[in-house]
Amino acid sequence: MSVAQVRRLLRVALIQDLWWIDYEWWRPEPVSRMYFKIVLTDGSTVTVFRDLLNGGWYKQNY
Amino acid sequence: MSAPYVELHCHSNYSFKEGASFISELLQRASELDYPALALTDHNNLCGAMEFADSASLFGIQPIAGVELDIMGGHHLTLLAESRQGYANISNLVSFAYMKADRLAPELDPRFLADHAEGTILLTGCRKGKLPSLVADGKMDEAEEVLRDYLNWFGVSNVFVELQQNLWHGDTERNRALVDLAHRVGVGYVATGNVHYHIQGRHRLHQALTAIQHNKRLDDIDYNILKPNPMFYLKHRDEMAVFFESLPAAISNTTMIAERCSFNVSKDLNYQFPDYPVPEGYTPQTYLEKICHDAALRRYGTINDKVRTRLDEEFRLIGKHNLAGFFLIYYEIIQMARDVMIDLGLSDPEIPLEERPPGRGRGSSVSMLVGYLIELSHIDPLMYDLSFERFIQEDMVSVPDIDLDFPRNIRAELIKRVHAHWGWERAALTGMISTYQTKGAVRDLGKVLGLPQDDIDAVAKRSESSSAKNLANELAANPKFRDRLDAPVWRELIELAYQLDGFPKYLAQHPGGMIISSTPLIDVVPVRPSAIADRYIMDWDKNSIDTLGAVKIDFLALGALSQMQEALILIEQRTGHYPDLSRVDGEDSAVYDMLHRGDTIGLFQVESPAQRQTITSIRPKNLTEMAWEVGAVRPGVGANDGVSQFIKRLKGEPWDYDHPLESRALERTFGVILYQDQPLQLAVDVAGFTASEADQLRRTFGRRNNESALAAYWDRFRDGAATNGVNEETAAKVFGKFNPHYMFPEAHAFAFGVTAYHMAWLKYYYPLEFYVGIFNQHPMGSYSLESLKQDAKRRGVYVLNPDINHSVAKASVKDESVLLGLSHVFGVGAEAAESVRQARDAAGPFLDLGDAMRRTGLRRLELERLTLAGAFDSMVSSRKEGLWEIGLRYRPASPQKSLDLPVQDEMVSLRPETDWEHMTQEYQTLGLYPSGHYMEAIRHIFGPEVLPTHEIGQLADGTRVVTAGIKISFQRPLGKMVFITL
Repeated sequence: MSVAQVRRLLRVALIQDLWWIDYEWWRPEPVSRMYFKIVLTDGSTVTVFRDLLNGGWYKQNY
Repeated sequence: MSAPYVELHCHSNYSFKEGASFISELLQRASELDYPALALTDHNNLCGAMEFADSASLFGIQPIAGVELDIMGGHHLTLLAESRQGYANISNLVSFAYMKADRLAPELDPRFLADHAEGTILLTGCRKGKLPSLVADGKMDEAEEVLRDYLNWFGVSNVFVELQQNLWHGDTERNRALVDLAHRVGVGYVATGNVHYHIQGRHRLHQALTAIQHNKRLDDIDYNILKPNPMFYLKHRDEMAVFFESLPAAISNTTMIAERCSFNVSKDLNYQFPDYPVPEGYTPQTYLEKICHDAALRRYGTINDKVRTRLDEEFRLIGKHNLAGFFLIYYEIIQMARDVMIDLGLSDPEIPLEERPPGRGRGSSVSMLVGYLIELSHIDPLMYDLSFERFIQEDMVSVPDIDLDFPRNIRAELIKRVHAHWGWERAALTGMISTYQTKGAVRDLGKVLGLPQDDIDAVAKRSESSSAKNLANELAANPKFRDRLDAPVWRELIELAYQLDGFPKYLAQHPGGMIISSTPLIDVVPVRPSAIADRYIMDWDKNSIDTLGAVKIDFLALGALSQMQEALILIEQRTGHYPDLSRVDGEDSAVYDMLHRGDTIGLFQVESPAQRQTITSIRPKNLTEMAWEVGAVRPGVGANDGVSQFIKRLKGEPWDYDHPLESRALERTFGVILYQDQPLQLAVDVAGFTASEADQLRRTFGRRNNESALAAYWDRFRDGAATNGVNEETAAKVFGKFNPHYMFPEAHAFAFGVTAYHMAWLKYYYPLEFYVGIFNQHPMGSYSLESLKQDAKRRGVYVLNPDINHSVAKASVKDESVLLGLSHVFGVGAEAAESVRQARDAAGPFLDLGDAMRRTGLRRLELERLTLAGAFDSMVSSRKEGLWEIGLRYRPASPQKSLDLPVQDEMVSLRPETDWEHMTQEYQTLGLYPSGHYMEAIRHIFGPEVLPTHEIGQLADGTRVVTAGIKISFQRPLGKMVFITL
């Protein structure tokens, strides 16, 4: 798998952790996301998540 | 296929407002997942432990008892019972968590763990455990110290580091650190799921319950409190294997631990009936026999063959089931109750117990001759041919409860004395699980979902169905809400309410059930303080106690007995004679004629509108037929249309059995089931069940989520019937006579029927004392004081307004009438009434209103209300003038004594009140109008088409009428017909 960094394509070397949040189903816009803390082939660590409702992938900005 | 997995950390909905699945759902799912075993670790209680263990065998699952305990400091700890001793230790620890801390916020002092470790396996807990919390904070040295403490207390083979992977942020990192620590210290680790529901679909309900528990809306709750995702469900072994792929020992240890935890709550508790210390030379059995023989000689004069045969058989079964000690404990309790009576001035040591029994037995224990002879019951079972098999059988597995009704004053004191005598660890009240129904579900869920409070109130107040599963239908039938069924939040409310229906809500105290044990009860079930001071309740309800096989004694307060006690004492004061109700004629036609007219207002068990309707048809003539009357108007009889069938057959309609094998059960009630015992007899005679199997069938009908169990019972019933030559169609008809609705046991109906007859006898022969008693026990029964006053008037007994110079706090007798008490005036309490009595006792009657004001110190509101109720009518020209005088004289209480100046010059002459004004004043201050009736005042406004109620009885059945009145009572039993009393 690859993650598009700014002007670079890197492969995922390792999924270090994953977690799932599923909240706010009582609101008009519920939240359901699967988070992945991944180590890329250049050694950097980044957290991304997949929105389980719209299928999109996003980078987590801390 | 992955290695087998056992879930060792699992919450049911007995983790109140936290767990989101029934025990049966968890077991069913575990069975589908091929779990060999499952642990139940509810939060701070063992409420579900017996039900879990008892149900597990139906699903082929080995049950493991455990708990998740709150430890001081806000931490969680998981404990599993390996052995009987381990279970006892867990039960003790749960008790200490409540007894030593706030009963609403239990937490265990960890110092208790060391002395209660034997036979227990410790898992270090979820992320709220002390060990995982320290690890997550990076405090590894402290974490190691905690782990070594656990090892010192429990032993290395009994401690496991608990690893949980629920895809909750932090799980992975925490697990790595925990495994490192476990390796370093040399202790095992085990995987658990921290299960809170059986399937992922319950995740939302679990989050809603968490919000309810914290009394917060979902919008406002801290997300750290909510579990973040639907991963807290029972997982397949393959799923767990993926999460712990690099730690196979975490999975294999689950089955290893399960194999060690072989203790089964429902099979291995070996509950022992308590011993009773008997005089030298006796055993409990021989001492009980001596007491009964002596009593039989007093009761019967001689022990004839009938008495001898019956006693021999009962003693044999008592000996077989080792019940002598229990009967002797009840004998001791009756003696204690008699002591309470003597201390309250209601009896005398010289008066034999049987002449003034402190209470009356009810339920199936009334069918025992031994019970009659030791004063447990007031019914001679030989006289009414009552079989003892409902209470005690050859193959009995559990013993039915022994119920005792007492007057309220005796019961309250007796419970305190029983707790004091045996101690809280050996005598505790049974628990009662309050469950969610529509109103509660709508209120709690509506609040956390953020629905407008007005809407929540509107839905909750108007709901007619008790089952929250019907909420969608209820909303659809409501014009204001029918278009919201698919609206956001409302559809979640409907869905979650459906799931929440029947969930345990909290542990409450059973009205009066108690278990007494000579060995510590807390080794069997946790005990905690009740909401009422000096009372203690156990985690188990009636069903779990039945499964345990313990005998539960019900101390119940019966207002009718309080009324009866007071009436008998008043009769003795007036006539010098205390009627012995056990000797009155049980076939007095004058009393029965009164009942046949439906003249039953104020009569225990036969006064409801439905009973008044039925008694005019059944027309009982003796005590056996009083039992018919009392037993017939029960939901379980009406469910099969039994009441109307019985009445028709009683009047001569031809009938026959569905099969001749029904005759033993149904012959005495014309083929109709009136009593709880009769379906049991049918199961025995038609399908070959044993008596205890039939009783288990009865209890299964009353349980929640019983479909699969009932299906299994039908198969057995059908097959058993076939061996007796009963075809399937007939067997189905007979099986269809069982239903989950309540019916009285036959002996219970007899006991209540006799009490109802005794009350009717008192009403007929001593109406004055009867009505004084009922006025003093009110609120009780179905009727207001106004209705009771009218009923009294029909019997020639008048009710007088309270009188400041004659009334005491309660109603009393004056001039052959019922004199209302001062406390019948709204806002005039016992303290105020007592100050009046003391002032009269000190210096004689009050001369006038001013004199009363000076000597009693009553407050202005009390004086005004007493005036409007007529208490000063003998002293004032009109009540208005009385109020005027109060206004002139009244001074609030003050350290400085005010001058008592004359007010005569400031008095005015005011128009006397009209009858209408008196009427409204008395309804406002007393809730009744002693000297008249409101219909007399307004009847003139109705036209001729409005019939008075006394003319309606003369019309043909089916005639449509118009009448007027104020509703006194309204009943709609099982929704079939409406009974209104005007």
